[in-house]
Amino acid sequence: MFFHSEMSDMVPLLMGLSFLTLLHGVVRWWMDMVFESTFKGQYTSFVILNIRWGFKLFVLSEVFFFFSFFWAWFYAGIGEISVKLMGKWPPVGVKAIYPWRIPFLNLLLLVTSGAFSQSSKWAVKCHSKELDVKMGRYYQLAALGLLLVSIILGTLFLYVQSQEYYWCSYSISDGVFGCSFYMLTGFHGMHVMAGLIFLVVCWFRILLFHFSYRHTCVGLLNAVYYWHFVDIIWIFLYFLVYLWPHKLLTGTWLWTF
Amino acid sequence: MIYGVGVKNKLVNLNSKISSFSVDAGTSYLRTGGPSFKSWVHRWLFSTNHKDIGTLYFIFSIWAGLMGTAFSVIIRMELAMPGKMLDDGQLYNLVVTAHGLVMIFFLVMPMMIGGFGNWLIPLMLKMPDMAFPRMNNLSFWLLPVSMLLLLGSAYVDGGAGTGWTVYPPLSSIGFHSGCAVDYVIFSLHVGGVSSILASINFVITTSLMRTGVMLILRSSMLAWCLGVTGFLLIVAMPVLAGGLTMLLSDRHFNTTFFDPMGLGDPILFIHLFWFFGHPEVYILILPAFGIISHVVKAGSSKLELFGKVPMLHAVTSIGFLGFIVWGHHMFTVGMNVDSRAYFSTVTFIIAIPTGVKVFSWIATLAGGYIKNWPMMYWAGGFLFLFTLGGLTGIILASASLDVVLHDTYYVVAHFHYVLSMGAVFAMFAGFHFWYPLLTGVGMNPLWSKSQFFSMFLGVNSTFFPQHFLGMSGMPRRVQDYPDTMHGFNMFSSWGSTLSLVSLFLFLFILWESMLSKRCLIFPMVRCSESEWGARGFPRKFHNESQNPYGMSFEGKNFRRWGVLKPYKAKGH
Repeated sequence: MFFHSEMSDMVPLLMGLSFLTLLHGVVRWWMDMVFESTFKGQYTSFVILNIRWGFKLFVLSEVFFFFSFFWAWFYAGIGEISVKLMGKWPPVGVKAIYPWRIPFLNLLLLVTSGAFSQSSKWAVKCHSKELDVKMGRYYQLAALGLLLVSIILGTLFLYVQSQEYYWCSYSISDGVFGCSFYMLTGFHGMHVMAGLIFLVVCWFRILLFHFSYRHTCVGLLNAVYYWHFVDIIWIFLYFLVYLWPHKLLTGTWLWTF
Repeated sequence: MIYGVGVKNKLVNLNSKISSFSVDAGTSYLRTGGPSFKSWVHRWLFSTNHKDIGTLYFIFSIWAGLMGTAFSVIIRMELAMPGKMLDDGQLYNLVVTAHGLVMIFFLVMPMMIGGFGNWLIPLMLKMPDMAFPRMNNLSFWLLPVSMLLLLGSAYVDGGAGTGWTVYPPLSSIGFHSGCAVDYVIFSLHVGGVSSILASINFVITTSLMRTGVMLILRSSMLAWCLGVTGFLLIVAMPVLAGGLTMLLSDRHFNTTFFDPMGLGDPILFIHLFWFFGHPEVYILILPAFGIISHVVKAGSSKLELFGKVPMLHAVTSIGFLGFIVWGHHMFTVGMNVDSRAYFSTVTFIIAIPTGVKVFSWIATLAGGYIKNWPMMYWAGGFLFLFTLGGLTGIILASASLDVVLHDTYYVVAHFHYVLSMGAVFAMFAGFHFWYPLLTGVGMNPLWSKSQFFSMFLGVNSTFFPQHFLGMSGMPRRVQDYPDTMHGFNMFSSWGSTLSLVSLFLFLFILWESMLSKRCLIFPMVRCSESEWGARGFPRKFHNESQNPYGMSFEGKNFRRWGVLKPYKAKGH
């Protein structure tokens, strides 16, 4: 294999180069979109409708991506091997995380973050409709503050989750419980990171008045929609991945939840 | 169609500034002051034009189709005689895998969705372009990357000999310890991204970009079918991506999703794969249904398809039902008997809307003046052979019969009837119908009809004997077989040779059409085909820059811009 051959020293370099190329392409793509919308004004209401619904369809595809991992979780949890052969979920030897401390804190963090991002969306809408410059500026500052809180809460979520990963008693290699748990929460964390980057970019765009004076804030609308999606996935994760196994620490089955 | 004598300058496209065989190059030449490398790059690498991207998809998919055919010929050469031709079993398995993946992901899907879809949807629904033209281009250019990764897998570490279904544990690190399967996984990931982005484009275009009077039930059949196909892709493709990611992590990151040693289960992969896989085969056939609807309607000289609204509902129900039948690919894994009964039942139910469609096509043909065009031969072939393939599918839908026939050549015969004679015949029909629209020249009809007969004979000879092989127990994906099965295998291999030669004939016909330039003058299709409503072919680079103004009369009301108003005669 390449990674074990004589050329393996080049692997980090090649990975870095391709990652940078990808990053460049991604940044230029969305930069082009910002130029076309904010600076050239080419996004009619028709185009904006298409972009909003297109983004919702993209989020639908992400929902089904998580669906496949939840399928794996349930297949292992209530499927043949758990019930017929082991009868215990989590499997014997795996200590489930107590859900009412860190995971619950994360739930509160994300839900509050979602609420703050929603409010910043309303503030930006007022900011873009407002003709009086002073009031418009006031709405802009409110939006910036609310969105900043939302971003900070999201970053806090990532920090807390990383701590939980560090201190967790089981790893990704610990059987199907460990791998399903980490794949689900890990992909969720990756989506949180992507959503945060999106929100940060929107924050700077609000700062630079991209959404002012009748410009539709479709970028922010999509970012907040994505953030709500990430939040809802966490709610599902909390109930199905944290609460459910904990109840079964004693080894009782799903339907005695 | 009426064609004129070929001339060096384009006979009919008065808007073209170029005398060679090409369409107006849009604004590329304006920006660069004439043809140059930069204008070529802008036109073909950075395209945002649905026609150019459709052309790119066609070229790509035809090339990939030839490669997939080559793989199939190698398989048939191996199976023509008892004994082994290829020394290496892994190589044979690799060829079988590559044949499946290339034909599905690089021939049928790009040609139907990317080729026909991109060219025709904006023309049929009268729009300037697709909803997201730049993303359209990205969807295309991800495909050569995906193909390179797939072909690359064959060159590294012995190749991926897993079958297109990539089941663990054969595809796990224990039995495919090189990086070939990883290349396949990445190829499918990239192809999946391409498909998902393209589907978002198609669903938004067909549902949101229509002008006011173009009500959703007035969409053309192809537009509707592609919209439903797009929705199927958006929902099903990510599940494959998830399953493949789990396989990748099992191979390299010490997870045990599919390894019983860590309480995992290979059956989980089978569930995830076929939850994607069954909608995938409907994704392959629904655009074919759309193409055939158009071809049959135009070829019967009719103004409207028989029962178009029931046909639209049939397509939607096939799409929806396709999500809940995946278990019929898994009847032999040891599933619960009640689950097997359920999956059998729902699979039988899908035959009903499909039957609605076949009968409606036949009713469209009834009472019409059937044109003696090559496309009608392909459409007639589709109607008969797809129905046959569907009938063998009904036999396989029965769980009890499937236990005997699963993983035998009966299954291979079934899906090649519906794909190689369903999807591929529909692609040929659509290609023969719309080729003059795309290029402005015509293929020789006499040679095209003979190519149809040659291909028809070839594919039927290839796949009909496989029914008998399956029923006598020949398994799939085997390199050798008992000597008693030699006769049918030999016949089948001769059929594949005939199909190969028919493809060569097709390539010759294609080449000759470009050489002779019999330009299209009168399309001779009725006014209800809106993609043909233009003053010259090939179509101009740009369509109208806005959706057209429309008015329609609906009983005592009239609709303008999509707003319904009661009709009041003025001045009385």
